[in-house]
Amino acid sequence: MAKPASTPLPFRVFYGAEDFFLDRAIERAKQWEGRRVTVLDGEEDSERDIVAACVMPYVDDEPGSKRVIIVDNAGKLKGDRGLRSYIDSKDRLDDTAILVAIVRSEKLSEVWQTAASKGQSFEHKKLLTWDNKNQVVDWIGKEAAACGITLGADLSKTLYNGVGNDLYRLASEIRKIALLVGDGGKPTLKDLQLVVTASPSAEPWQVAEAAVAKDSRRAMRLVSTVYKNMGDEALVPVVNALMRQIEKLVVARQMLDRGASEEEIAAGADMTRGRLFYFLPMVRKHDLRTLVGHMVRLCKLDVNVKGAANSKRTLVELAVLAIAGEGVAA
Amino acid sequence: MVMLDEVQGQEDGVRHLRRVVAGQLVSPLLLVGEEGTGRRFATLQAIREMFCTGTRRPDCSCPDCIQVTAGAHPDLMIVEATDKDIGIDSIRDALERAGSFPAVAPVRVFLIDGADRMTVPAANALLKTLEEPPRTTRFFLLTDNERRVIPTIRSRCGRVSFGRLPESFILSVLSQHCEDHGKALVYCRIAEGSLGRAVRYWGSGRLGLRDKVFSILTLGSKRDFASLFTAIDALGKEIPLSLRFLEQLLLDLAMIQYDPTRIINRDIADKLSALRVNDAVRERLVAGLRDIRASHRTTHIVLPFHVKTLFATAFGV
Repeated sequence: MAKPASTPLPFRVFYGAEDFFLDRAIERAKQWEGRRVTVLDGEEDSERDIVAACVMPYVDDEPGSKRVIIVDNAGKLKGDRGLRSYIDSKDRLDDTAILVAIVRSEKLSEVWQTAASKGQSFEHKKLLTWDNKNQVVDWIGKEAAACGITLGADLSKTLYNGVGNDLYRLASEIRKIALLVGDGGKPTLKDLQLVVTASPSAEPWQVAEAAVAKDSRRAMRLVSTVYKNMGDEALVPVVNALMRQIEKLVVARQMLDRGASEEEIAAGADMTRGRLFYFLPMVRKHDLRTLVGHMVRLCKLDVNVKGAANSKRTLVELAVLAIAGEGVAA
Repeated sequence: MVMLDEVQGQEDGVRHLRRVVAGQLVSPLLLVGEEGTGRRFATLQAIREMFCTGTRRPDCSCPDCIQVTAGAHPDLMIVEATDKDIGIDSIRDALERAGSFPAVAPVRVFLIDGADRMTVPAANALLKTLEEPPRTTRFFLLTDNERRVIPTIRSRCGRVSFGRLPESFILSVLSQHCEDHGKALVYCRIAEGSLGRAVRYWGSGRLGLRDKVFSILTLGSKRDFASLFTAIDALGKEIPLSLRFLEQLLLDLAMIQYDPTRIINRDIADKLSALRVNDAVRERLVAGLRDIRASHRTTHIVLPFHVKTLFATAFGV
């Protein structure tokens, strides 16, 4: 029997690492019209509670009433027999209870895979900000359009540079801009400067990239921002990012010296051709002997940062300067 | 034949344990030896001898012997390091019972397996009791790294050494399971005098990992960093064991020029002879391995990056 187009499927599974979209899915599900909404949490409620919320009648239920059960952190549930049998036995045409599962991880457990196969699944991966494709900047444009304003690529980039990649903050700033310029408005740089509170964010990989690009000022500014945002916890990720970058540089530099083609270098350094296009100029700024010296230095730094060394931040800064600058000993 | 007669190849250790069983030695003992050399087995056999209410023979199945073997005897307290170090709470919990009289056995025994893995507060909590142990209490502290046991603990214990087991003994045990004598001999040698390691390596086919390490050495000699780094990444969690195998291969490279019969990895002697690793590179690799071991004494985890650096520096640019 064909399913009527208007009947919603009994299961909706949202999953992925981008919390913003998952939270938004919860907010949207909460506003489902004509249905009683129950919100449960996989960290606190059991499978039995979820099945009960789906099937048990409420005292004030009216005939034919429908409901939405939202289960946040559904990935924390192991999926016992009761929940499995509820999902297995649920008729795809039965829309009296719609179960919205929010799985905050990139993989679905078996029970939610089954639910997704009987309903719909929506994956929300973390938006990429590296390589030559910044998905957050693209998203800013779309979000602005959804708020009724037009934000061009340049202004989207400016907003990203000022606010960072926190989608919650970006969404708030976009709403503020929309309120300022009004529906259908086209904000200018001045509007942005008026509304947005700049609080730059930085990721450890950006520090590493600036260091290997020998942009010592930017690298030091980014170290400072990362440290300001994350505190001492920033040091290990920064060192890891430096190690990854140097490792790729060593491979690429050696292949370049041996006359390898760009395809071969891209494969050897495990990156796309597009990424290599940006990476090769950095490679050309280093020689293999110095890079191997940086590897030795980073090994010592790794041990110091994870151990009980004093002034760990200074040690990291010295390493960044040694990579970014010339003749600075760390 | 008593239970301690079951322990083979550790005459010195057994002699001390017999004195404990006879009541001639009551001070705490620090049993030092690599894993798989029979430290724990010998200690448990000694405890069985002390606690046994049956025949006192190795095959005795009295309730006390069964409980000791299962680590569930009421007068035997076993504290051991697993993936975590031994914390102060574990030691305090065990020591709470040290002052009371044994429930059924003539003495109460504390077995701390991994004395080097005690945190400093845990070791300090143990000190006072070790200094003046109750007359009805015996302490056995087991370690494979004596230098990591704090000096104040070491000075309060009698030291009993469990050396490497003879090759012939390990080979005789392995030969019961492994029909290929040549392979059994290689497993015996890569285990370096530890029966536990030999059996474990054989059971999980560790020669495969040894072969991977050899291929990494080959890639290093070709100075092909892209393939070398990929191969090192593929080692994953096996890096600590890989470094042990690497050290053995380097030893073989030094030895093969003088006496090929004494090398560990006899099955790949031809490949080792053909490998182009000169003495300078070998020495740099050995020194690098020593550095890695020294610098990771506290952090424990060796990242692939450290191994890559080891090869990149040793083989030069």
